[in-house]
Formats: sequence, C-alpha cells, structure tokens
Amino acid sequence: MSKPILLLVCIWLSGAFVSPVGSPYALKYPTKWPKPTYDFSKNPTTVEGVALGRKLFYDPILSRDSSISCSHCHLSYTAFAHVDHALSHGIADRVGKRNAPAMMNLAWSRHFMWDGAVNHLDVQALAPITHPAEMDDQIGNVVKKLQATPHYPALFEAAFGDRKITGEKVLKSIAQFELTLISAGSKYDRVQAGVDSFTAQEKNGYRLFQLHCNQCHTEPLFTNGAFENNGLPIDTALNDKGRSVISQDAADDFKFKVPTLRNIEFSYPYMHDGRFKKLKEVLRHYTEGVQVSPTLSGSLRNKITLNDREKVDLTAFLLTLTDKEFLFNPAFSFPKE
Amino acid sequence: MKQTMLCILACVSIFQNLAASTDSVWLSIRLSYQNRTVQLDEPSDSLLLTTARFYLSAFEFYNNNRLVHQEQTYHLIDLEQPNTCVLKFNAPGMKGVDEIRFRLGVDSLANVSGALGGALDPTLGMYWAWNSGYINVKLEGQYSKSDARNQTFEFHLGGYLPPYPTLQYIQTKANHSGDHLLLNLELSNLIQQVNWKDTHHIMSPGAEAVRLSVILASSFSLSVISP
Repeated sequence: MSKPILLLVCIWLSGAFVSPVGSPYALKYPTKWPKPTYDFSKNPTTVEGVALGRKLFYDPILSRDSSISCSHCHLSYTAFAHVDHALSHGIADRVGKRNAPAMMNLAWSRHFMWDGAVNHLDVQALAPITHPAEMDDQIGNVVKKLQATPHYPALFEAAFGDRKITGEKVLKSIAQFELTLISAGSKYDRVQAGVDSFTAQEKNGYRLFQLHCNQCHTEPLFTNGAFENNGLPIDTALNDKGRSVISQDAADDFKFKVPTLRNIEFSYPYMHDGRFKKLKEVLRHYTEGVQVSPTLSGSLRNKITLNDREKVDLTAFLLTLTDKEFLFNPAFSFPKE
Repeated sequence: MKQTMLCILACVSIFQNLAASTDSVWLSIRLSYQNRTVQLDEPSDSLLLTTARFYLSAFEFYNNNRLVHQEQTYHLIDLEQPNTCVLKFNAPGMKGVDEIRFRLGVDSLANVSGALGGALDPTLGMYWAWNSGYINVKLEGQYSKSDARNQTFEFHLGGYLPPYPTLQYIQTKANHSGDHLLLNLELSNLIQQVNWKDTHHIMSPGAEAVRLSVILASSFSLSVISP
C-alpha cells in the first residue's frame, strides 16, 4: 500500500490548489455587469474564508513589527483609499512612491497596482507585505507568526480544512475578503436599475461624462482596466515612469492603470501620486493641464473644453457614484470579536 | 452497508494491484563546476555558491524513444535541502529510462494563476512580489572575476511575458537505460559567458535573464547511476 500513498502525496505536494471548506459565500452584483475576470473555481468564496481574510486584512501581524495592517492605508469608510495621504506610508513612517488606491469590484480587475505589477488578486497582498516602505516582512515569516498564535490555526481549519497555515491559504483568504468588496449601490446604479432618476444637473453631467470620460472610465465599473498616460506633468522628485517599469517598453512610459471613479467623492487625493486633493483640481487638469507627450492617451489628444457650469454638472454626476451601502457596510469594517 | 464494504474491498484490491505493478525511477540532481561536484558554501576553484535553487517541471520519461511516463508537476530543487535533490517518480510499468525531457522553470499558466501551494507556495522565496511571477532559477555566491563588491553575484532568473520568457525546454539522453539516473547541471558555461564587469546582479525579467537561462538549459546532462 505504501507506493500508491506516496504517489498521492507527491501529487499533492506538486502544486495543486488548496480546497476551501465551509459554507459558500455568494457574491451579489448587478446582472447587467460583465462576468468577473476572477476565476472562482480556483478559490471559491466561503463564509469562513471571507471572515478569515477580513481578520487578516485588519491584523497588523502582517507587518514586520506588527504595527500596521492592510487597513492602515485602505480604510473602509473612504472606499479603502488612504484619505488625506498623497503617498502611502508604511512602518517606521517610511513613505512610498504612490498613492494607496481605492479598492472595490476587484473580481473584475485583470491587473493590480498602479503599474499593473501584480497579475492576480491572490498575489496582490504579497506586494505590500514585502515592500520595505510598507509592511516590510516576508510571507514565510508571516505564516510562522500566524501559526504560532492561539487562534489563527482554528480559523484556517474552518476555512481550508486543516490547521496548517501556508502562504497560499493566507493569500487566498485575503483575496476572498477583497472579492466581497463590491460597490454597486450608488444612485447611478439605482438609476440604471430604473428605481431612481437623475436631477437635470446630474443628467447633464452624465451626458458630459459619456462624451469626455467614458472611454477610459468605462461604465459600469468606471474603468476600462487599461494603462493610460493622462498627461500629468512629470513629478521630477518621484520620476515615476509607471507601466514601462514593468513592461520594459518605452511605449508604456508614464502610463498608469485607469482607476475606477466609483466612490470618487471619498477616495481623494487623486492620481497615482495623490497630487490633487479636490475634484475641481482634477477637472482643471483635464481641461487645462494635459501635457502632450508621445505616450499620451489617444482619448486626451483633443482638448476637453468645459465651462464652469459644465464642470459643476459633471461633478454632480460623479457624486452619484457614491455608494454609502458600500462605504458603511459593517461587513467590510474592522471585525469586532 | 454490505455495498459499502464491497466498495471498500474493491478499492483496496485496486490499490494493491496498482502497488504491485507500479515501478519507480529515481533522479538525482547534481551541480558541478569544471566537472567537479559543487557544494554550497564550499569554494570550488574561483567559485563559491551560497544559494542554488531552481524549478524543474513537466517531466517526460522515455525508453528507446518510447514515452513511458509524464507528469505535470513542479519540483523546487534546493541545494540547501538534499532531500529535494533526489526525485522519485512512480508509474505502472515504468522501468528503464534513457531519456528525459523537462522544463527549467515554471510555465506561464502557473505564473498567472494566483496563489499556489506545494512547491509553488510563495513562502518558498521563489516569487517576485513586485513583478508577479516565479523566479525559475536563483544562483547566488561569489566569483573571483566579479566586479561587484565582495565579488558577489545574484542571478534571479525569471519572467514569463514576451519578449523575455525564461522558461526552458530541455531534452537530455543517457548512453543506456536505468532506474536511477543522474541529472547534472554543469555551471562552467554559465560562469564563462557572464560579462562579469557589468553583470553581477539580475533581479528582474529581461534579455540577460533569458540569455543566462538558455545557457543553463544547454548545460544539463543525463547519465545512469544504476541500471
């Protein structure tokens, strides 16, 4: 009997997916939305897995000195952005090079981070955990710390069927929680569902949005998931070339991932380096500040003209993307025991 | 209840038959430099290797040009852990192998499949957090001609995206067949072909990572330890 058993063990060790256990956790989103890009067959969401991921998301044990958690830079009440901080900062007050982006509707994302350095939601958490200016730890060490706690092994057993903690399980549970962060309850969504209506001002703003913004901030997710150079003047202190650092292709110079506009009212400061604190600064950039360069987005090569009234109307529409059910959903906030 | 018992007995019988007919091939993996076995942290002429880790995957076993076994598995070879340097493959009727084909590295599908376990668990230190993807080969140490401080080098070879995919397909044949084979990776070609004035640290995908991966791929050889 020993040979077949050994064979089975070898197959398991060679990279099979871990199998979650527990009660299925169904994600809800509008039927008109596109199909998620995330492959749920490899990491089915469960009540236990999501709860574990949520606990990890809020636990500073993920950082080297146990001082900061994911929520340090991603606050639920501000659409998981880092309000008031232009650049993210990590342990020991170290400051990074980019703004901590808002987090929502991640099941529809194909790339993660401003430059798309991360190719899958499951492995996204590795980036902040290991970055010296963020959590500055190693996933192997995080696993050891979690295994040594009195409570985590039981939570992993509930989510994955055994008490042995692995990097795969840590990352997949965090991803499970993040997959639940679906924002689809804004006024815009209610209007689309036919249960609410825009004011005249919002309606005109929506018209302007579709005319000038929708090509990159595409409905219903309000991002096309692509990388674009939106004509920002280069910050010579950061000299951040964006996507081309990853692709090693000069054609990608100064391109960054197009962020969603959902909950934009709360996700300031704006842009990859958090240079704009207010929406009016953003609109001023797109109407007056776009710098022409070889990699400038094709959508911005023709100057956008908006008068003051139109800017107010467009802003009124953008505010209809605020989803307070999402922002103040107790299932997304710090898990009280 | 009776049916359940019969089912269990049938399963046991199948496993016993499988056990009786399953054969094994052992593959020992060795690194050499100038044809002498390399041990970690022990200087070998002008080379000191402190880390040697690499992925071997998708093995195919042949006997007299006939495919006798294949499996889509990943093995992380780590000279620091001798048990990882001996691989055992089991399959019914697999006896006598004179050729193996495999990949040096991790295929692109695994590179885009999120968090994986076993030999591919990110805790094993072979995954780039800030440029998603596996490090196929990690070689670190010192070489007398390296212009780097303390004559160090760090070659982390990986990357799956065009134009710099580093995954290598390798085919190597022994003089005759056997059940215990030695797969040797000779480092001389690599060491000779590095431009030590400019290249001592490769930590991201790129043309040089591809070039060195190709050199490594041509440096494997297969021989029989026991027939």
